[in-house]
Amino acid sequence: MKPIGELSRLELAALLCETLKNHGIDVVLSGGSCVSIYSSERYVSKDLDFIDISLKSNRQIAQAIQSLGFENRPRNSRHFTHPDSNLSVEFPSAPLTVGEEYIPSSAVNTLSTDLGTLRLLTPTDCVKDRLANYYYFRDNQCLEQAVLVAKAHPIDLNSLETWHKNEGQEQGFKQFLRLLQGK
Amino acid sequence: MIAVLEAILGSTSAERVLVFLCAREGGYAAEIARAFATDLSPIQKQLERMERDGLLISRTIGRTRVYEFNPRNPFVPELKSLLRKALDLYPEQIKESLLLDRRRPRKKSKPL
Repeated sequence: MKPIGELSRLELAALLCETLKNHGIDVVLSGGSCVSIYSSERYVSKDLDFIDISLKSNRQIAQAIQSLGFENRPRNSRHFTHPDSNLSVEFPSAPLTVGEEYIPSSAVNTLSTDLGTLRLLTPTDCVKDRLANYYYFRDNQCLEQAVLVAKAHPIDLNSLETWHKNEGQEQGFKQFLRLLQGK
Repeated sequence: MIAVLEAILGSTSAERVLVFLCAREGGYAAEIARAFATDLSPIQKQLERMERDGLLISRTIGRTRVYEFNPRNPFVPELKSLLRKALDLYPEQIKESLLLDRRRPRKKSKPL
């Protein structure tokens, strides 16, 4: 196996996902690194955000991830770093949701690599995740990231429209479509 | 404090933090401690723990770290309902001090 420092984001994320799975911990990649993967690194996230959908303790996660050389810093946080990697790893709390919408384990995407299989948000859920940040926090970067992913991958627009209605963001959906169409 | 809420949360400081943030929509450790005339350290610990676990988010304004409920956490609406009910049952004096804080601006040079 290549040293940790030489792994691509996708390879490292898949290795982490596989290693944690071998310890009985099911995680799904969420957040900015999904954008990086789906946009072929046109957006560069500095961390890997995994949602632990098996609801294991922080100690169990720490024990599993330490086998790869990651260290819990600060101690008892949900944040891990590796001396040879620029990517930090975080475990935001479950459940896996985008806005008010719960994402069941069966509805996540998978990407296979030589180092294991990565489970991550689908492109459509990745777009919702970014748009949720835009609507809740007025984070314009996240709006750009949502458009970036939607331009690079097929998106379920019906699902996206329903999600906007449930979030009370009907006008936001129109704005997003205009941006997607380059208007 | 409300005994049932403390039983659920397991800590008086946790209850104080959550009730304060529910009443004011946001706040920092020193003002929460001041509002309940209590020590700063346990309040800070609770804020950090709740942020770590995704219940709260924070941002810095000047040199102050201000906390609020994480709007992306799916449990927040129901939790706020519970806290509002608890707040209704608080002694009038505490309730008023939490709810009736001055929010409108005051010019720097304006006399009190």
